[in-house]
Amino acid sequence: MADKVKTTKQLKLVAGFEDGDDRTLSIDNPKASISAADINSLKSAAIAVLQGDKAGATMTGWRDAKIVEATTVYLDITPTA
Amino acid sequence: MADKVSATISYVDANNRKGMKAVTDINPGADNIAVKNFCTGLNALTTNTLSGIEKIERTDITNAPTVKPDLEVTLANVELMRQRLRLGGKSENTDSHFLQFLVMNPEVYPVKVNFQKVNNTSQTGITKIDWTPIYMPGLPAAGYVHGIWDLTAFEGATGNIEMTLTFAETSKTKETKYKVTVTANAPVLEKITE
Repeated sequence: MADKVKTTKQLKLVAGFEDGDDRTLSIDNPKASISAADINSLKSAAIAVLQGDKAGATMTGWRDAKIVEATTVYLDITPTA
Repeated sequence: MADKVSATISYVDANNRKGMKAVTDINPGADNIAVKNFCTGLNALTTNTLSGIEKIERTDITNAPTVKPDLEVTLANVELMRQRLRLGGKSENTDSHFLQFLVMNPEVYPVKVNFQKVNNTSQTGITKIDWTPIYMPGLPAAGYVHGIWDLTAFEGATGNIEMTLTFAETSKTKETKYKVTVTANAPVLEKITE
């Protein structure tokens, strides 16, 4: 049997806060094409809801957004005859 | 006003597997509608189908409740999950066989998990594994414990496999049991009410 390759993707949104802190939200299965408008449309809703995890500071906006792709190779370790 | 607020999003992915996403450190001043709107918007960036906002938990730390909330367990479909077994001689999936689950409210309900095989048509006897849940990186530390359940021992079994998860407080004054039925397609989790 051959090795198996699995690729996963995760959207990582980094929110910035008034105290200089930032937090990363990681979401599985992001859509294939996410635009800046998609991210920015969630900004006001996020500011109303998220707070800094250190001192409860107010969110100021998104600092970063990226889709991280990871490839894992599951090696076939089946012993040969 | 609550000191600590978190929300849980439940969804079904494109492969029809259930998953959950927790959002922690929510502004206590945000009302439930704002939280739900944000969670819905966050899910809209994915290919997942939103099942619902499972709960919005508001905890007043300074006046902690004396009654512990019910323990909740769900089968998780997090990124590394590989849940298919080779039942009935199927050979198309050679992944390792793990079942992953999330235990919610572990901070107020310290748990130890016992796994007991109940029924399997090709194996007899009872297998017990004491399983101490672990905290997994990437999952919120508050509110969740993530367990991994190795099912490799059941590889090649015929028929469905039924197992019981018993979650017990360390003081053993309360137990919560769940029955897991694993088929060739997807596992089913149901709470056993006694």
